[in-house]
Amino acid sequence: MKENAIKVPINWMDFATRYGTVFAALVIFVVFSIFSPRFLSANNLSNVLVQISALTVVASALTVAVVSGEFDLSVGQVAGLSSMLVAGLLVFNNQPVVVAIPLSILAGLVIGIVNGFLVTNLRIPSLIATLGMGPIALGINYAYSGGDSIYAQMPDAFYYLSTGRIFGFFPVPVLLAIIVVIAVHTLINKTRYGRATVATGTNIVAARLSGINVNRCRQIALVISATGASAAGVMLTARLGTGQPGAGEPYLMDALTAVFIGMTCFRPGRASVEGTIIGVIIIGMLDNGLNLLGAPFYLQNIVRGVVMIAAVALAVLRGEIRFF
Amino acid sequence: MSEELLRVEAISKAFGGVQVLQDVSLLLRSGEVLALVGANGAGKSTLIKVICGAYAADKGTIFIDGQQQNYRNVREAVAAGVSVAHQNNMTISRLTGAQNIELGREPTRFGLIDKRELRRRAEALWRVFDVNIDINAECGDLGPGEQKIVDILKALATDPRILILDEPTATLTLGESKRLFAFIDQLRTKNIGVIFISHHLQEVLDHCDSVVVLKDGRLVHQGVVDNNLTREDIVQMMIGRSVVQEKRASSAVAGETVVSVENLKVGSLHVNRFEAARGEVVGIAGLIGAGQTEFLQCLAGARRPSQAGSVELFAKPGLPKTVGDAVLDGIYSVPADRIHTAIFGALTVEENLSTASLSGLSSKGFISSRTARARAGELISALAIKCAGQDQKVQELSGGNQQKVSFARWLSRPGLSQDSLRNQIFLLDNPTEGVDVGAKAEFYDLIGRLAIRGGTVIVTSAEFTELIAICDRIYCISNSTLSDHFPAVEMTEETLLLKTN
Repeated sequence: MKENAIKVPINWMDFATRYGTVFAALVIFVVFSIFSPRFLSANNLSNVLVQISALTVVASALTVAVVSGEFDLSVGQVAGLSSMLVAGLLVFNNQPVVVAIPLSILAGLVIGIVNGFLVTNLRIPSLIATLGMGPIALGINYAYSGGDSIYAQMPDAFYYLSTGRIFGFFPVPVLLAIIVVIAVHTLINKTRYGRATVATGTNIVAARLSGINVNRCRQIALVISATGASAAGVMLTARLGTGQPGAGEPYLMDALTAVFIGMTCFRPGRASVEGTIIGVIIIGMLDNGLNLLGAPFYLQNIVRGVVMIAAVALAVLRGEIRFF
Repeated sequence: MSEELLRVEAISKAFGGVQVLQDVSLLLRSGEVLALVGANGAGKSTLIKVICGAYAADKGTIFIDGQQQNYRNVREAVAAGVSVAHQNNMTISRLTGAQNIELGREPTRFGLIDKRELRRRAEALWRVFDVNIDINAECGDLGPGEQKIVDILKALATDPRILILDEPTATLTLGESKRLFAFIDQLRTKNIGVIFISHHLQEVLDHCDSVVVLKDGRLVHQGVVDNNLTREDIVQMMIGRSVVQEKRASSAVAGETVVSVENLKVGSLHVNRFEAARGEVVGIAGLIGAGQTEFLQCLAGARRPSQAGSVELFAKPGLPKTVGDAVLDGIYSVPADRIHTAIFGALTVEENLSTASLSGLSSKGFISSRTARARAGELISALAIKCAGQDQKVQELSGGNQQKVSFARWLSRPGLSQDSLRNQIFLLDNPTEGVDVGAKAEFYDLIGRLAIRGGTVIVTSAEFTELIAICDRIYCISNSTLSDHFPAVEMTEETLLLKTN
């Protein structure tokens, strides 16, 4: 081989580091296809995509916060709040869809602004500020709904968000998720704001000394994160057809896990939307596949925890990331 | 002082293909003070780490009292009689001197720390070495020199035969250094062998018995210190050529004053009067931690002074409020402590280069990656940044190249590619820290070119010879006050040291 010194050999180690997680996703896909005949059916796969579309929106938005170096632990409760708000506005207040949806998303945006204020102006670590904001959002949620579910029929136009098909076949929620993913990807990778935010998340002191307005970057990132969670909450209500006060909660764990899984691929150690999508897909397949295989319900919880810890362990091992 | 104490034979050590030490041998006798000198990156710290057990050598052997040593970690090395007082102050300010000295090996009774025994041991040590400090005071209340002595006592508490002092005087005043050397003389009478690392060659000539010079990982000299050995000799051995420091051709026509500061206070530093003009390189000489970093941060908009005084930058009153404002005014800073405050280690060279000029590289909020890459390419070749490509992570580059990247960030701004830098101020805080000799020369050259093009450069440095070489004028910080300035041509390292002590 030495004669051929000019030829750069493929660095397998590097390759494995970048694409190992994608490979793992493929393995999961193949394993479920083999063990569950129903898994591979077009109907089921389309179902999985619809199921993960709301998670994709939360996780993509949360990715922006993580890129800026902050955590947002309020996304689950914020999604829950917006999901109840939209149901309530449609059912109790008889608001049209075009009013109910923006208003419920606005609620998330306001919480994002408060999160940003706490983190940048009051200098509370985002981990704590958003941890505290979660129960506050839940409290507002209960205050609004009285803690009860909303089962009444909502306008048909609203259900279009979950059951609509573009050109008669393409699911609307999947399209929405794709639009959010592209938007977030463009924001992080192609815009000035995105670049400044990446710098802030990598070395906040150096970013500040480069003339970057680091507080604005973090503030906007937290607003995006909360707004994304709200949008997902609306999508969730459309899919469930009912308003459930606690429905948003699992999004926190799932979205964080997806972001962490994402940090293990493509550019290890860095949060990216591409990576987050891989994470969302892995979570979606595990949920669906384990269900189809008739695995006991508690196994899903255990698998979630294991996947999250494993992802963080890998991310820490491979890239030079530090938490806190 | 004749018995052989420590013998290091043919030590080699490489990191990731880079040979850091090659066949280094040295001999230390009991009661001897051996100086270890060399330029940055010559391999001093690696050698020390091998001797104290922190690194395992690739090749070579260490003998203590003629016995071959095979220790594999610091603890085993301590047991073999080797102890190190590291360069940085390792004392814990909330603990007393005695508590610091016995840290990690506190005597216990019934599982609890035996305070009385702890104090007794520390005092015994204190008496043996006849130190004149209060070891029952919290270290935070002691001066830096006293803390250093506590640090050294801590190293001595393990009862070592060989004591390594890594740049003990770097942060000390002249008076404190004197006390430290008196103390080292004590060690000599106790037959302890001392390896002394210092950048101040005069100290080496005044207080050491012999000297070992490292250059590029090789031993180039071991010999006694006597009257025939001069500083110039040592420098020549360190660098491999004689350095008649090339004086920068003074920009002669320093233009009008663009920076004028009066009565500014930041931290403990009082800036009585400071001025800098167009086309001028102005140095600030002071001990590490004298406040020069904080002063530059004030000018850069990164810190608020405790008393603003009266400041004029480009005839505009007041300091910039944020770094962003400063940059818009044409004031750019290259902070000290590159890794924590200047570079984005995990990001690529291109990403690092574009962080300071994002608005110039984008339109309507979107970055033009073609422009960004083209600009990065120009800078990489203009500053001869050695990297595998624009997409290499900055943390993989050498210190000098990282520093070039952190500097080139500002040159990436569109206005700065023009010939005239008439309305630009560069604040360089210790820019050549951890940069090898070759890259240093390139930096000096670059600084000179900035000034010739009309820019104003304000620079601090831990190495006073460097300030003398590159500056037109040098301000000195003495007694926490910055006011006097001198033409660099009239200064020598000694005079600067005296003025800042």
